[in-house]
Amino acid sequence: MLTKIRDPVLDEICPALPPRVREAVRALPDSERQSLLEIRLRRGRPAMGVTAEGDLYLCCAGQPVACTEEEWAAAVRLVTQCSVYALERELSAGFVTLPGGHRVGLVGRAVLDGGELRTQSELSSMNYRVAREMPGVADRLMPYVLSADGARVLNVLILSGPGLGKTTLLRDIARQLSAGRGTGSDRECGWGWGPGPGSGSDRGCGSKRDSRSDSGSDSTPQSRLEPRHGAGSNRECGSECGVGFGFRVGIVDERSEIAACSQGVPQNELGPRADVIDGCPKAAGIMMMIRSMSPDVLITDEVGRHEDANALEEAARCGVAVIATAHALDPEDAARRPVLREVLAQGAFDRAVVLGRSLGLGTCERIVHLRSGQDLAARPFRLERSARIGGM
Amino acid sequence: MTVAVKLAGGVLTVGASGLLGLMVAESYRARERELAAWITALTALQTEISFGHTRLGQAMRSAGLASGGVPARVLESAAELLESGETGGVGECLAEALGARPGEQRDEIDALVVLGRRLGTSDAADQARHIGLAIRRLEGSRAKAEDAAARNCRVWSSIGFLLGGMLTLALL
Repeated sequence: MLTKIRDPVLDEICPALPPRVREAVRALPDSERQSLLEIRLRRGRPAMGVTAEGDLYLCCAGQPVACTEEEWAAAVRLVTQCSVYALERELSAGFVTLPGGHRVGLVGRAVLDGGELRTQSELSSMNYRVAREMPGVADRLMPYVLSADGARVLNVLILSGPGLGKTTLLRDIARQLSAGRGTGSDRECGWGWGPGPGSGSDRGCGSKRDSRSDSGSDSTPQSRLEPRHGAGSNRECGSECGVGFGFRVGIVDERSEIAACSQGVPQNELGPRADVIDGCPKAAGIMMMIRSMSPDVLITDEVGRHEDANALEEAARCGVAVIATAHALDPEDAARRPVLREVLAQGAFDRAVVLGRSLGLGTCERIVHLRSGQDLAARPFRLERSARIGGM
Repeated sequence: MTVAVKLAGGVLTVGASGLLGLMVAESYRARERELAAWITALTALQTEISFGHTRLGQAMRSAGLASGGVPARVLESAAELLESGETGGVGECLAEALGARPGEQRDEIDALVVLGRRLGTSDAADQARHIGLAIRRLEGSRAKAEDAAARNCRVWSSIGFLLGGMLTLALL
């Protein structure tokens, strides 16, 4: 039986585009459409697609499509689902999340209330950011997310500028932890992310063999940290025996980007042990998640406010591991931002993963052991989706 | 035999005429009920929007369920049109669902189409005000409909039979 392959642009983004732009996107060759990272609409100006290689004009009948007033109104209606009143918080934050977890950034005229941004009106630009699931993209990072024995999740902060794959990576880490890869089950199941042959002692302490100083031949972390494939698979051990080994993952999904919940059901694959609190401010959501679902690990996106820092500190006190993302170029840059400086000073994170694009989109530039400041990865490496999708 | 046929014809004439009168009387009551249902639906919509911050499509469906009758069918249909994204704004969707023709003067259609142009375009407080205005307008229409029903229902209920009787007597 033929299975329809999900195309996030066609299936989830196109319905929220005005008709002519929709046609232009549909008319793109498959390869170009699949490489779209963003679709940008500006009122009265040509619509553009953004790819890793550059921008392209979206054309209809050979002409770039510039949204008319009517089309712009239609785009606003489609993005807001004619429910501006339900999106006040999102509009004041400057984005709306579409089904499938795609974020649409919106800017226009700010409406202030007592000096505070209440919402926006007269929108002038929209940026549809395509969220793609990349199962396996975190494979090469999982050894750094787990303790040496694979029994404990470390506190990890993923850093990068916008649009470099933080959320995609975070989602796959959540999936893998929830699905049971790299858990204590490795010992029984023989499939996981424990130290590979010859990897030596705890990578978490920045052992010389993993550090940049040991960047000789065959010293890339992944070469030593390949998953172990033993007697059986996690699937066999977990689902067929009826016993699961994985981490309880609590996802605080303020912007509905990680899980993309629809009617309470995550639209993205997050494994069997993930609990999602959707659309809730991070600080409140973290505390609620800890109290209600007792997670082993908390996953949240874009830490940036003081209350987030307090909640993360509280999570650390409760013994819950945290994996979060933040906008910063590297740990040094993060330390210049007041909130992140506070979080880092509290020792809330063990490691920082820095994403960039030196080897293309989805490059892990550095993995930093935050207490010692040592780089754990010998050199930048690409994070790529895997053909083998692990988990239960 | 002839008398029996005449009698049967007379009974049929009185019955048919009386039924017509009852139908006219019922139309006054139905209009009153429909306006009451619309007021219930809009009140439920106001609650869904103001307190639930429910997306408009779903809010329309919930409001329809709360009221039943004609509003339930219209709002369900409008929600479908809205979610398909093919039929312009909320005003157009409501007009199409109502089957409204340009220039149609029925109060509820006019009030709903005017409301539809504003629905979903502003914050919850503003939406509540617009819906409140439409409700007040419909309440005015309902008061008129109640008055008309009180005046005309009893008249039409008996006038049908009366006219039927008179016609029968005249024909006999």
